[in-house]
Amino acid sequence: MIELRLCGLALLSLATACGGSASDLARAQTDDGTQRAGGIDGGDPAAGSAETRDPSGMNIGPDASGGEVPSQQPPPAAEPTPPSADDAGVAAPSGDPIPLVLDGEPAHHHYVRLTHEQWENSIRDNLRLEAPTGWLAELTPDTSPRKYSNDEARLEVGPTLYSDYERAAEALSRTLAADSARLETLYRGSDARGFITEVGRRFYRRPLTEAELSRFEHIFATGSELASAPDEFSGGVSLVLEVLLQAPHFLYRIESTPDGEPLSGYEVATRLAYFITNSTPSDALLERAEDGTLNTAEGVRAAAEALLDTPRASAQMRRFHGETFSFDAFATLALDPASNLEPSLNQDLEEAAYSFFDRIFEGSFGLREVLLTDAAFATDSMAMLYGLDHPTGTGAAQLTLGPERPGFFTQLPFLMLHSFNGTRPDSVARGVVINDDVLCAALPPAADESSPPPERADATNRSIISDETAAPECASCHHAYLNPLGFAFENFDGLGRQRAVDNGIPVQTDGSYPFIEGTLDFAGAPELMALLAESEQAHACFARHITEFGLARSLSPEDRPLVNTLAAASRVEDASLRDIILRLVTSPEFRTRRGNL
Amino acid sequence: MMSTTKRNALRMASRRTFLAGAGGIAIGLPFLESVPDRSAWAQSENPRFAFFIGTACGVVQDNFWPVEVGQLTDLSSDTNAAGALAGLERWITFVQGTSYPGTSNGSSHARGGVSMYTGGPTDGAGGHTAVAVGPSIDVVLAPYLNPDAAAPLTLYSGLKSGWIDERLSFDVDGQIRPAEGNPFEVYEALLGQVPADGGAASTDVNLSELLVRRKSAIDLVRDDLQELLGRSGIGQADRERMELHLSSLREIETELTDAPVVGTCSESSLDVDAIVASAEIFRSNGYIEQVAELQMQLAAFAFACNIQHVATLQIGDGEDGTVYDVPSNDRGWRFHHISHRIQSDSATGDDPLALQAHIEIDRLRLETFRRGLVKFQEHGLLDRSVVMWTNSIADGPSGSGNNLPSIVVGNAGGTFRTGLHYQPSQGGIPNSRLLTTLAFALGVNETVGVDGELMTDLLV
Repeated sequence: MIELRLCGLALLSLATACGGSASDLARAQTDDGTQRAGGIDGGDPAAGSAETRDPSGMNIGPDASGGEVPSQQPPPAAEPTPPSADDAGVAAPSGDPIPLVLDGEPAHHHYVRLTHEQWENSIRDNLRLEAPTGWLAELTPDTSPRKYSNDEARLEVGPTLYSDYERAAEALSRTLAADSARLETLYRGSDARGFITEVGRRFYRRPLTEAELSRFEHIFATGSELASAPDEFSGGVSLVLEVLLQAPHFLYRIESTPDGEPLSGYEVATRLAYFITNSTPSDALLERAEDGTLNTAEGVRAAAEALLDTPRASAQMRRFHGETFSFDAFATLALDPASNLEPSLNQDLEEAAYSFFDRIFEGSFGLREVLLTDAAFATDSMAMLYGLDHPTGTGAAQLTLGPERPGFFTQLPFLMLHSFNGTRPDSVARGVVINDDVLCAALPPAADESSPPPERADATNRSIISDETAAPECASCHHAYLNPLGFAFENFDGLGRQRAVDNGIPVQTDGSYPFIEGTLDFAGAPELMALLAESEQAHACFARHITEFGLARSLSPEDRPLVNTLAAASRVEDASLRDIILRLVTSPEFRTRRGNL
Repeated sequence: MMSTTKRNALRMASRRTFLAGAGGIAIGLPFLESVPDRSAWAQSENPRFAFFIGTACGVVQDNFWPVEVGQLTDLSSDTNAAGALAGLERWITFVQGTSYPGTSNGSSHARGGVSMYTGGPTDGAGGHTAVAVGPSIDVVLAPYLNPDAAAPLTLYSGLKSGWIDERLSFDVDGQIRPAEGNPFEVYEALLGQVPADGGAASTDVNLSELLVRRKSAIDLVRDDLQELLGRSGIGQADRERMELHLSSLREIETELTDAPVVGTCSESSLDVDAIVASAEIFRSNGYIEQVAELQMQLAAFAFACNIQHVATLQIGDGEDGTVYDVPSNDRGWRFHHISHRIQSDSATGDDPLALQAHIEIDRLRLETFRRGLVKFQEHGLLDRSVVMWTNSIADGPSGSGNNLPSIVVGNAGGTFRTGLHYQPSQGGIPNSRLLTTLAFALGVNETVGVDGELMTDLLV
C-alpha cells in the first residue's frame, strides 16, 4: 500500500511528521509547486560522508548535488538545517536533496523462514506436484513491515502457523502416500534409506548427515508399523514426509557458514533458487553445489543464467516489480461506474503492468527502458483510452505510444492506479511513487489516508492541491518534493487520458526537483523521465530495490559499495535487470557471510 | 453482597462435604471408576460436534471485541473482554455484523432468546412468551450429527424465575425444548448412557496413530530447534526466532501430552465434586457462572463419550434476577438493571458504575467460556467441533439485536475458518446466515432460519 501524503486534509499527521523550520516556512509560503523548492548546496558537507562516493564513481549521497543550477526564485532566506545522525532515514530539510539512505538493521541471517509462497513452491517441487497444494491460503498471513515479502524481519513461526504447518503436513503426507503412482514419481526404489536420502536432500537442500538419515530411518520404521498403512513402504513414506514438512531445516533457510567466510555451495544454491525462482533448488542445482561448481563466481553466474531462463524467474520478477510498485492495489481499484468502463479493466490494467515488466526482464532491458520506452501493453478498452487502435482484439497486446508517453509512469496502469477511482488524478500519490519508489527519497511518515482534494469550479487540480498543501507543516514535504513530481503528470486525467486543460484552464506540468545532482527543472513528464533516466539517484534506488529483494533483507551501510556498483552498472553501462541480477549473485556480498548482521 | 466463602463454596465442595451437608438426601454416587479412559468414537467415523451457548443482557460492545480486526494473533494484551480467550486464538473466530430478522413486540430478552439460534422471527402473543416459528440449529443438526439421530442435549444455568426461563432450543414446530439446569442430573443421565466398555471402539487405531505421528514430528522438530539454538555464532534475533518456534511447539505439545483424556471418554476431565455439590445450589443466585462451567464440562464429556454430538446451554434469561459479584457491583444490582444502566426493568439510564460492572461481567463470562473450552480442547474436540457463544441481545441499554456478539470456536473438522476477527460490517447480516454457514461447515446442507446464504469468507 502506498502511503499517501496529502496535507491540508491530514494536517495533524503531517504537522507532527514533517515539522518545518523557519526556512521551510519561508519557502513553503512562496512555493506553488511550480517553482524550485530547494537549495543547491546539498546541505551540510559533513553529511556527505565518504560512503556517498566510492570507487565506482557513483555519487548518491548528499554531497553529490553538483554545481549551481539556475534558480527561478530567490534562494531560501535561511540556511537549511543539515540532517543529524538521528535523522538518518527520516528526512532531509525541506528543499535539500535527499540522499539514498541505507539504514536497515537486518537481524536474522542464519535462520530465515520460507515465505508462504516459497513454502508452497518448494513442496510442489519436492513432491513433484503439478497442482497447488491447496494449503497456501490456509497459512496464517505474515505481516511484513518492509517492502518485500521475503524480508527476514517478520518471518517467524508462532503457535497458529505451527498448527497450520502441522495440519498441512498431515494432510499432504497422507494423500501422497495413498497415491502409488505419485509415490513412484517421487522415488522409484522401494528401500527406506534410498527414499530418505533422495527426498530428504530436496527438503533439507543439502545431503542429510548420517545421524539425520538414521533418525529418519527410525521414523520410517515407525510409520511402516502403523496399522492404517496400506503397506510398509507407503506407511513409512507417509510419516517421513509428515515430519520433513515440519522440519526446521525445511521451513528455514539455514546458513551455518561462519561469519566472513564464503557460503557453502548448498547455501549459495539455496540463496540463488529462492531469489531467482522463489522455490527450492532443483536436483540439478544441488548437484552443482555438490560438485563445487557454485564455489566460484563463474559457476554461480552459469547457474543463475540457467535459472533466469525459466518461467519461474519471470514469475519471480513479477513479484519483485509488483511489490516494488504495490501492484496489489489493482485488486482494490474501484473505478467510477459512471465511467462506463468494462469491469475487467482492473485485471487488464494489472496484466498490462506486469506485461510491461515482463518485457523489461525477458527482453534484457534495464531502468532506462522502464523510464523511456514507448512500448506499452493494452487491451481494446485500454487502447481506446490511449486513443489508439488495438492491434489484435484479444488480450493485452504491445503498442507503441509515442513521445508523449515515455516509460511506465506515463502509461494507464500507473496513472489509473493513482487516481481517485478514475475520476480525478491523484497527483500526490503519483508524486509519492516517483519520490519513494523511483528515487528512494526518504521523507517523514505520511498521513494514514488520502482523500480527494476539494473541487473548485474555477481552479485546476494543481492549484487546489497547492493550496491545500500550503500550510507550513505540509509544504516542507509537498511543495519541495511530492507535488512537483506529481504535477508532471497533470496532462493525464484520472483515466490516464491525455488532456490539455483542466476545468477549462490549461494544465501546467512544469516543475523542479532537488536531485542529488542538483535541483533540475522539467517541463513535464517526458522531461522528468529523461532526467530520471540519467539520475544517479534513480539508478541507485533501482539498485537498492533489487539488492534488498535479492538479499531478502533491508540494507545497511555495509551494503553501500554493492549498491553503488550495481547503480553504476545500470546508469553508466545501461545494464539490464538480468545483468544486474547476475552481478548481484556473483558479488562477494551475495556469496559470503558478511558479518553477523 | 455475597460472601467470598459462599462464592467459592461450589468450587471448594468435596464429595465428602457434600454428602455430609446433604443430610441424608438420597443421591447415590455413581461408580465413577466404571468409566474407563478410552476413546469413545473411532476417528475413522469422522464425527462432528456442535455446542451452542446463549447468554443474556447484551454486552458492552466497545469493550467486548478484540481490538484488532483481521487475523487473531495474541489476545493476551487485549484489555477488552475478548482478551479472556487468550491462548485459544488459533481456534477462535469473532464474527461481527450479524443481526436478528425483523422486529416484534414484547421483551427483547425473550425474543432474542428465540432468534438467537433459530435465525428466524418470533411468535406468540406476549413478549416473554415468545416462541419460535421453526427449529433451532441444534434440532436441525441432531439428525445428521448425533448417534442414532438422538435429540440434542439441552442444558441450562441460572435461576429460572418463571418469567422467561429456557428459551433457546426449539423443536421443529417451534416449541420450547426443556433444558436441564442441574449439572448433577445431567451427569447421572450421561453416566447411565456410557457403555460398559466406555463406548470404546476397539478398532480405533487412528487416534493412537495420530498421537504417534504427531509425536514423531514434535520430537524431531524439538531436537532440531534445540540444536539450532545451541549453535555458536548466531545472533540474538535468530536465537529469539528459534525460541519462538520452540515455544509454539511446546504449546502444541502441551495439548498433546498434558491432556490425558485427549479424544477419550473419561470422567477425569470432570470436576465431579463440584458437580455433585451443584445439586444443592444450581438454582441459587451467585452460581450462574460456576454452573455454566460445569455444564460445559458435561457437554464435552458427552461428546467425547459418543453419547451426544449436539448440545445447547442457556445461561440466564436476562430477567431472572441474577446478581453478579464483580468489583463494580458492590451495590448488588441485578444484572438486568446493570444492563439497563439504571435500577429499572424498563427504563434506560447511563449509570457509569453499572457500565463498568457490565464490562466486568462480560470479561467474567468469557473467562468461564474459556475454562469450558479448555475441556473441549483436552478431549481433542476443537478440530471436530463448533462451539458458539452469543447473546440474546447485542447491547444492554438499547436492547438492540444488531451486531450480535458471536464467537465461534473450533474449525468443524477443518472446514470453518478460525484465528480471525471477522468484521464485514457493523450489522445487518441475518444471523441465520452464520447459523447456516456453521451447519454447512459441519456437513449439514440445511438452511437455519430465514436466510440460507452462506458466509463464504468463513469457510475454508
